[in-house]
Amino acid sequence: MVIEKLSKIHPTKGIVIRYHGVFDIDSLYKGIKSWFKSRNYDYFEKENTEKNKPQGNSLIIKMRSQREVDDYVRFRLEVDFDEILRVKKVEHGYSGEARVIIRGFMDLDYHDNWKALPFLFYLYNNIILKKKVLKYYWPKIYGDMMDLNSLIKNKLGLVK
Amino acid sequence: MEIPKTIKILDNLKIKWEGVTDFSELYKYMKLYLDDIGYAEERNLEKKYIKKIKPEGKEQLEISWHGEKKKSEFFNFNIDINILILGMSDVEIQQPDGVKRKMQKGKFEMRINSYIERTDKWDELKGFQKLYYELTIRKRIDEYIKELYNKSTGFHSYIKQFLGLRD
Repeated sequence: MVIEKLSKIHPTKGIVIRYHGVFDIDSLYKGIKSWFKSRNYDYFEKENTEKNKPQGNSLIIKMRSQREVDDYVRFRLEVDFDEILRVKKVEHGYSGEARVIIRGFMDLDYHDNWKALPFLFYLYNNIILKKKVLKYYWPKIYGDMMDLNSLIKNKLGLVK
Repeated sequence: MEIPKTIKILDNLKIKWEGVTDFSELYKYMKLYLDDIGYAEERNLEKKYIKKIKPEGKEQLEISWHGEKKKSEFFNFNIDINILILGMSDVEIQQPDGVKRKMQKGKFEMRINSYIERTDKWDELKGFQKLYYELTIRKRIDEYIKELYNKSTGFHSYIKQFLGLRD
């Protein structure tokens, strides 16, 4: 396995969770935000769109977060509420159709200090740092991504 | 490592609402918010205001603001906002107290950018003076990043709350 500057931790299309039914979007949204905060991730929202439609509102929320683990490695986690459709307020929350996508990335040399020395950068990552990346950083970001996955599934009342 | 000319904090964050809102109130309160945190002066905030009336009577608005705050002799804080409104028309909405209120219906989109900019004064530094500042300023830049992040995400949240979006 070659260690590259940017590694995708998620499966090709991200971890996709689909749900159709009643759920509490507010609690889900707040839960994810608090989770990022509790894990020391800097959070920002790339997009927050809501369309008011007769058949129920539709939502797109793109949540982004990053954590500088040290001076060399940065973790990034993304959660996309990729079109929540037909959202209608019901007695215990909202009814609707949700598709949530989770992605995780590991970014090496995020300050670009090695940009001018690509060959040395390759050697450093794949010889000197390789063990630490595979045994320490990779399991850590993977663990964070799966924790987030569990939190979302838990909020949606899905089997973990 | 050279101090970069600009340090991006928020990169084109998008807020979009399709529905009814009181746009004149939103416009006014957004301006006041930037004024309150020291990024706006009435005369130089607005860089663009284009209004087009479409044949069916609906309006299209394009507005650009540039808010700036001088942080130190070497750095300025900047917040840019681009507003695009499509298909805007007036509607009358009955309030819970029975009073009718004129509001606007349409597609409201806002994009927010914020960044720290190094001033030209930095380039004028030479020799030991520059070296001294380069060694001491890093920690201060981290504090600046945090400060502008808090200010600009606060503004972002304020707009979402006004539009009734989740925050």
